[in-house]
Amino acid sequence: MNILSLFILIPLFTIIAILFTGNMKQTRIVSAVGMGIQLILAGILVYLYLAERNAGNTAAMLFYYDAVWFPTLNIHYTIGVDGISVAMIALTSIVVFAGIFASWMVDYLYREFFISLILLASGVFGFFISLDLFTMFLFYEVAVIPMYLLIGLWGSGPKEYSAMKLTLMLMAGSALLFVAILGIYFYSAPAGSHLTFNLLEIAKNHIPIEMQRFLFPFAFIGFGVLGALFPFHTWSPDGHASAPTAVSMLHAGVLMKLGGYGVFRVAIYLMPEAAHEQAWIFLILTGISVVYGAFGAVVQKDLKYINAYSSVSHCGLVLFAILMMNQTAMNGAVIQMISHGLMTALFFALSA
Amino acid sequence: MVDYTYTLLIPLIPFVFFILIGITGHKMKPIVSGLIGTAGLGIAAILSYITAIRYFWTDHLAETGYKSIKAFEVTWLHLTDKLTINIGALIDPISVMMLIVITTVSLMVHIYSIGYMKGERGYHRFFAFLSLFSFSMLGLVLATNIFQMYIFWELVGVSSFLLIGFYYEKPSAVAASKKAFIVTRFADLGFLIGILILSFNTGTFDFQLLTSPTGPAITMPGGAAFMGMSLLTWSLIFIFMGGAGKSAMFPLHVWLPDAMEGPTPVSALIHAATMVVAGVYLVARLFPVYALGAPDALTVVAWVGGISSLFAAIIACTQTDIKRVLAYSTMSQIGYMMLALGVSGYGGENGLGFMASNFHLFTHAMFKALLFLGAGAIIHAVHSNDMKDMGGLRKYLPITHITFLIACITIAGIPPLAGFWSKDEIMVAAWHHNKILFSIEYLVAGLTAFYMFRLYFSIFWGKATHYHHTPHEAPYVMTIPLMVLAFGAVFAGFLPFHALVTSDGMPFESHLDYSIAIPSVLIALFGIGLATAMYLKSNGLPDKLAGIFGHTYKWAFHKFYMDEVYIFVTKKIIFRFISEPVAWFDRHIVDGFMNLIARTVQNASNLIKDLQSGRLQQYGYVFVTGALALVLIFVYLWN
Repeated sequence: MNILSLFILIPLFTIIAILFTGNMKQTRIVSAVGMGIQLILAGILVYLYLAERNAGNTAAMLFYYDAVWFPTLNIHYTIGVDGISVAMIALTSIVVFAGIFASWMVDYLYREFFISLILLASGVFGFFISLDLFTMFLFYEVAVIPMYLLIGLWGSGPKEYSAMKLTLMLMAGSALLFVAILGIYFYSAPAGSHLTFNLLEIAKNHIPIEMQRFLFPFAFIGFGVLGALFPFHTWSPDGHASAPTAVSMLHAGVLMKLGGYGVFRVAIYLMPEAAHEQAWIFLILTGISVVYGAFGAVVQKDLKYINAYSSVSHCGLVLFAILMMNQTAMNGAVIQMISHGLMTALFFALSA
Repeated sequence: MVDYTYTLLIPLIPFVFFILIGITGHKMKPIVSGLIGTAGLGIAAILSYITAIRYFWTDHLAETGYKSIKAFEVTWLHLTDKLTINIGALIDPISVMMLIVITTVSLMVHIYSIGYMKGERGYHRFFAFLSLFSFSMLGLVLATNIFQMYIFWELVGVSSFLLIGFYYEKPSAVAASKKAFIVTRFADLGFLIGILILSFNTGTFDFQLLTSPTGPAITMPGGAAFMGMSLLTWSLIFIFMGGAGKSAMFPLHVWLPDAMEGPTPVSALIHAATMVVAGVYLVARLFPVYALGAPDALTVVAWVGGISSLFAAIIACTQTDIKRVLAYSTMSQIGYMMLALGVSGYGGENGLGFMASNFHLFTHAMFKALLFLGAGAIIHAVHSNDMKDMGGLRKYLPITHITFLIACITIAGIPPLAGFWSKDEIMVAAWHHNKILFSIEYLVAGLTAFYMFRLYFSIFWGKATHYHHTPHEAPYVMTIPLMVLAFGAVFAGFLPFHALVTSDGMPFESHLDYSIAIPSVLIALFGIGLATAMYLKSNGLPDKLAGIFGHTYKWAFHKFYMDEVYIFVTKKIIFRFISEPVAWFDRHIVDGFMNLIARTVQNASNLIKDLQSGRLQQYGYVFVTGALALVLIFVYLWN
């Protein structure tokens, strides 16, 4: 059994277990135990990963596993991790675990709340381990939909408005992304050979530069919406302010990282030539995000708005660093993602 | 090579105690947490003294000049092969000297606080933060590379923030802590930019490499890069900006007077003796780079120091809050140290200013900590900060009175007390470099003597105020640190600094220059005399003098409206003309556009939704009308 699959299975088992719980107390405990196991598992994964790397394994992705699940379109369940994914998984498991405790006092439809929260988490975990574009996209959607319910049902203030806005904007991003993914798919292999969704293979068979030019903006903006790229960030302040604590934590701490991670894994990794050509446009946009978010934050009166705008600024910085396309900046981006993930989650946990 | 690895323990012990007190402190009896913290600092102090004795004397390093020794170093972050951040401990004359300063003052403050903070809520929190501060400050001075220094620099800023805001129920304390943090953080932005420029061009963070006369920084190709100054000069000016922020140099000094909202022992430790001299230490640490690579940057340091010392001394003459007087006095004295560094050259006798600066840092730490702790004892007895509420206290607080007087004499620069020796060296260094700066210093020396004795007479002499409760002398736990520090303030001047702490590690001869020392003592005596005439007995002289100076007095009393300028720039300009428009633009234009799209879609679907009514008759009508329309089109228009 591949250790990575456990990251999806444990949340699923936890969800099933929650269905059988009788009262609030049991629900909480089951959730906490499930996510606690997940946290331990993440620790083990970090350890195994480092051990493997120290042992000299230089493969691009470790713990690789591949299985076909829809042969007609050659869709696989392909998983594997590199250092960036491991870091993100560790971050996610910490934030989710803390999020369970931050929502200890939820009593309205508590079972559904925890199910949605954990479903969201499983989508995020799935996203980070997938190496198949389609599967990755699927997990992405799994992560977005519970968000609508979580904000719309358990939120505060203008929660329906915020939830709808957030979902619609992210869905619009997904639409762009879907175009990009299909475009990549159709040009994923030289004419005549078998088309593939596998990220590693696509990177090997270069996508023709004309197509890259066309598809890169779709992929970048598609993920950029999630990474609060100016001017597609306005879901973030409203969404964060209305969401319940744990959801804000998860959202700012982890979900916004999906954007940065996706930009790197899909847009830059698969279409490097176009990225080089078009980087300047997005550097301007992310640069605006950084400064604009910061200026926006200083005059806010609501703590959650301050934090949301500062997240816009920080995530802009992450995207900016990724666009630099060199090793140092990438390291910086990953460290920034982790530190931002932890500190924003903590901030939201405290400001609630 | 002599092994100094154990110096690692000096910062680590306070850190361990911080964790210990921070986590378990609330379960202890308050006094226990205080004693534990003090014990931790005691061990660190003993280790520091051992290090100093070994380094300066018993290890016979003097014969070859005091070299810098890397006691310990590990790679902390390996980002790429080019960018690696290390953490370690560097032993050289200035870091050893700072170890002594920090651990001595910190230990005294710990002991003092056991008495001073008695009965306060959050007693253990206070000691935990003190330990955190000590850890950060010790880590800062032991830094082997500029990035480690930056990390600890920020940690020091955080501990300062936490301690200023210790009385967090008090809105003024909260505002002061916020202000201190934001102002210094803003200055640190310059520091970071400077580090980035410097390390990008030299490819290293390491102090030993940077300060080596043949290293990449000093031999960096010069030439005008931007606005007539080389890249190195710019980077050093930016780095100095960070130092100026922490050391409360004009115009980044506004946080220091407000920081007096913190408990008084904190002011003594952080805002008098240790953290505020971090800027001086920073320049001293990079001194070879400044002196050999970028003399222009050094000129900036000298002038900023000179202006700050004069500026602060003038304000100090008008303030009535005793802690604020001391705060401005600190700023003024640090200005002296900066100025001394700025006028110094590198190597041998040329490095007189460098030695003088560190010497003054050392003596200043003793007597300023003493002044603050004395002020704490007075506030403790009178329950007020304002010198208007004081007077005639010499009868009630004999020990505080004597020690305070010693501190006042030494800061005024009267021989043979410590302050005289260090200040005299600074005067000599300035005399050889720049006569204008030298004259400023003479003036400041007079002002210093005046405002210190104004403070002294207003507190201990003058009219005997009627007190609600008879003021009591503080307990021994508070007066013993005063006596220890007073001992330091008297005798620290006899340390042979010119043989120990020099710019290139080589000892040189230094002697008293009577033509400079005698006038400076006379000026100080004149200042003291004026203060005696005005404040020994309450009379109308102060008001009359204030009347003569008129506007100058008013401006000085209002601290030259620096706070107002800052408030104006931030609130009235940045907030109003940038941030608020941005926030408005975001809510109304960007978000408005998104809402507009949503509304357009909604309206469009509202328009056509009636077509899907589900009524068969309507569908029939539409169907028949459509069919007829098509028939008509085909029959008449198509042909």
